Amino acid sequence: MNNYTVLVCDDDKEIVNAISIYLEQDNYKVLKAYTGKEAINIVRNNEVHLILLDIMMPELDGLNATLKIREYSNIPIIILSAKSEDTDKILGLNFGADDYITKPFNPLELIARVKSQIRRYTALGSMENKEQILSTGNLQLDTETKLAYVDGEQIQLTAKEYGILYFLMKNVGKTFSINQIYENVWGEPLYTSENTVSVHIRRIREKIEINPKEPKYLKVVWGIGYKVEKY
Amino acid sequence: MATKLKNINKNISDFFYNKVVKTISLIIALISFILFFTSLYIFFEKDGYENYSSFYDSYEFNYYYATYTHNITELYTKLISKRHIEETLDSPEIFLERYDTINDKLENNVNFVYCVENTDKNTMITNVTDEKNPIDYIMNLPTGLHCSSNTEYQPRLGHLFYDIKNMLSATSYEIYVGVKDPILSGDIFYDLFLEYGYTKNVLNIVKYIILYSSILLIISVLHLIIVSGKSSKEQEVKLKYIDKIPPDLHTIAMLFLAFVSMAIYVNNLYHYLDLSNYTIYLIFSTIILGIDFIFGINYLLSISRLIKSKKLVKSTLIFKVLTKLINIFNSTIKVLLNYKFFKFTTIVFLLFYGVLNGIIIFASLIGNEVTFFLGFLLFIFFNGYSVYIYLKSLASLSKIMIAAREISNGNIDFELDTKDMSIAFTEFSNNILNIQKGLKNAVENAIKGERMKTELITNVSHDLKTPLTSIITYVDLLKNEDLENEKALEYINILEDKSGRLKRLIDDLVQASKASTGNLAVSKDKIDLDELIMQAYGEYEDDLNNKNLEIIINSNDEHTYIIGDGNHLWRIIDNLISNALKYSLPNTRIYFDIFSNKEYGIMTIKNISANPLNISPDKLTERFVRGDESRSTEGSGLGLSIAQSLTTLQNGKFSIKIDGDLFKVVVELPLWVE
Repeated sequence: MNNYTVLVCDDDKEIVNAISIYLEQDNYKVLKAYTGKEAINIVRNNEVHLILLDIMMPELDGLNATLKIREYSNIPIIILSAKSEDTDKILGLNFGADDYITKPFNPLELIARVKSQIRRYTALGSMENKEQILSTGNLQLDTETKLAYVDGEQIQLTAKEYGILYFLMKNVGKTFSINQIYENVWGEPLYTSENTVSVHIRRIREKIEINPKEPKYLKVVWGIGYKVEKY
Repeated sequence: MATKLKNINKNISDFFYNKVVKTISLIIALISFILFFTSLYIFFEKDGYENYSSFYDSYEFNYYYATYTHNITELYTKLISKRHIEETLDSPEIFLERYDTINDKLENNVNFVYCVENTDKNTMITNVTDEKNPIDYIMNLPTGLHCSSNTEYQPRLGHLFYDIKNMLSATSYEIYVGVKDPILSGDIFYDLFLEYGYTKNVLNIVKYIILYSSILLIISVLHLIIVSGKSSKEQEVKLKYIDKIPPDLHTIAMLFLAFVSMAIYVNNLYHYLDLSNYTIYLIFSTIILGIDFIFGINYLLSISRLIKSKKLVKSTLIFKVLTKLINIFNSTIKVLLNYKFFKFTTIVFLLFYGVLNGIIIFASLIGNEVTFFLGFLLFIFFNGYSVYIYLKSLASLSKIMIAAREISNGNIDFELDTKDMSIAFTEFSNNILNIQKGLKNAVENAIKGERMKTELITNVSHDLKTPLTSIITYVDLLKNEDLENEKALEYINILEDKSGRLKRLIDDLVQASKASTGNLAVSKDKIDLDELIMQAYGEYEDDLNNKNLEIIINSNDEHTYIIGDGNHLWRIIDNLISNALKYSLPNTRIYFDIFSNKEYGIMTIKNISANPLNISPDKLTERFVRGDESRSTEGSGLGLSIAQSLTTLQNGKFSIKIDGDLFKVVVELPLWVE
């Protein structure tokens, strides 16, 4: 039901096939490539809405391919690699990729990310930048309607969940401790050691994040507090 | 019974070591010392008094008796009168003086009676006034005697007898002399008489004092010597400050002191030995003897302590000097002789140097000015050259020492300049260069090795994950296929489960090896343990509720701040909580405690294990060891090992305590300091 085309590029044929099956199940059109060079050719000659790219490939690796593609195109590129170090992820994102998934991956998560990236890329009728909207990346919070949107999709939040998200997004990028969040959202100091705040945070994450264990927006700064990442 | 006896024995012997007892002993020793020597001196001075059976036997009495007799004789046979002196004697002034002196003496006389008879003229001069027959009276006295020109030797007159007899010869004078009996007070004889009495009395006492004080002295000194240096029998001898004085020096000082004291004593005390007024003598004697005693007893006890602690020989100055000399020899000459290169040259050079200098000096001394001048020049030249060689060697050595210092401080690229190196040190400098090269190689190899290790870890993990991805993906696809075969579905589930495990295992393995080799970035942030636990609690709330596990958090302070890396800490807690989830007995409580001591912030997690733990805590942190020995549940067995490595990486301490079914993990992290 969608006419988006995804290019899947990996030197491992079985992986490419497997991913294609998932994508086709979700009604995406799939193009396949097995080297960076092939990927570049396909992108040049076809309309592609997203590229899934492995790094370790012969004849031009994924990172260099990203560089080349970025010279003339803004297509979302998701890197798919078994190299899972932080340094690898940073490298990949610096080279121009939009997202990084490590192998082995959860197929559902993969599909969700693909959806998210395409939506962002093709965002038609995106929300106007009104004063009342707090946003970071693809997360938007409408302070009048009290509704949250991720990749355009509406998310239902409870009052307290909204309160916490609002507080953190108002001070986007800043880390707040549990005590600080509680005081600001509940309006009184936290006396007992309950885990109210951290549970709420977890619920918010489950609602807005593709992979709550690897959050993109609402991040845990362990031992210090929580924050919403600024994009 | 035996212990009681032992205790009694111990108490008795400890009594002697008691400080108070020692002090009493010391005082007794001091008093007996003074008494002994004072009395001894008196005894020796008044030696002879033993043999006097009466005053008239005493030396003093007879001395004055003879002197007076001589005076009388001289006065009445030689001097007679002032005119007689002037007329008959040469240098009359002297005799006039003597005339006056003798007369004065006789004025003060009370007890000495005399009668000078001129047998020719039948006249008599006497000072006996109240007797009819002075001669009979005198001769009846116990000390009366008669002397004429032909009398036999009178012992009472001693050596003056001959002079007296001389004066009487060739004259017709005969003298009768004696001392009144009883002696009346008023003159020297009375004083002497009194003194004789005192002395005799004192001597009697003195004999006993000498005896008893010597016994007391010996006992007390022996006691002090035996107990010196200890406060109880079993103790080790404790040395005092005075024992630092070298015993040979101490002995010499003591001898000197004894000598000086004796000289003072003998020279001066004699004057004070007036026994009718012995106070001054006693005071003087006490002071000198007291001082002697103090020094002497300290000396004795010091020596005894040194002997008892077996340090006597080693404390002597001689020993110390000797050992010093031996050390000097050992540290210089011996070392030189050991290093083969120097041995030959050192001996040769030393000999050559000494001999040549000797020859030069000798030659310049025995020759004339020319040879002296030549010798002087040679001396300067030769020694100057020796100094130059010596300085050059020192300079070379300094270069090498600087290089060694630099290299040891880490500057392994420091360049040692080997030109102008003294030949004695070329081998040395080459060795240093070799060491430096070896060090550089070792460092390079170590760096290479580390790099390779890191690459290996990441490469292996990447290569393992690629086929694993296919496995997981296709198993998932299989699941989505429409399979009616139940068995097939079951097998697919197993495949999914195991491949998931494999993935976790690889991740954990990479983590574990990175953590244990320190190949991890560790940041140092201010972390709030309470915040951390709260956050973790939030993450796991659902899972904990599903297993009916209740979490109880106890915190000492509102915030316990430590230095750590937030992500690693999360990983640690994540491991520990997931462990607790997996292995806890359902429906029990998990306790989190947060507190701190002076250096560390401490976090403990306690839970009840579902299965018995017959494993030691050390083994649990070993890799791949799991509490469940049958390995049937999930988990890679690396969780605790990773947690431990991560804790250590952050300079913390990780320990596990097992008590029956209670499983407790203690994580300590350094406290945050402002």
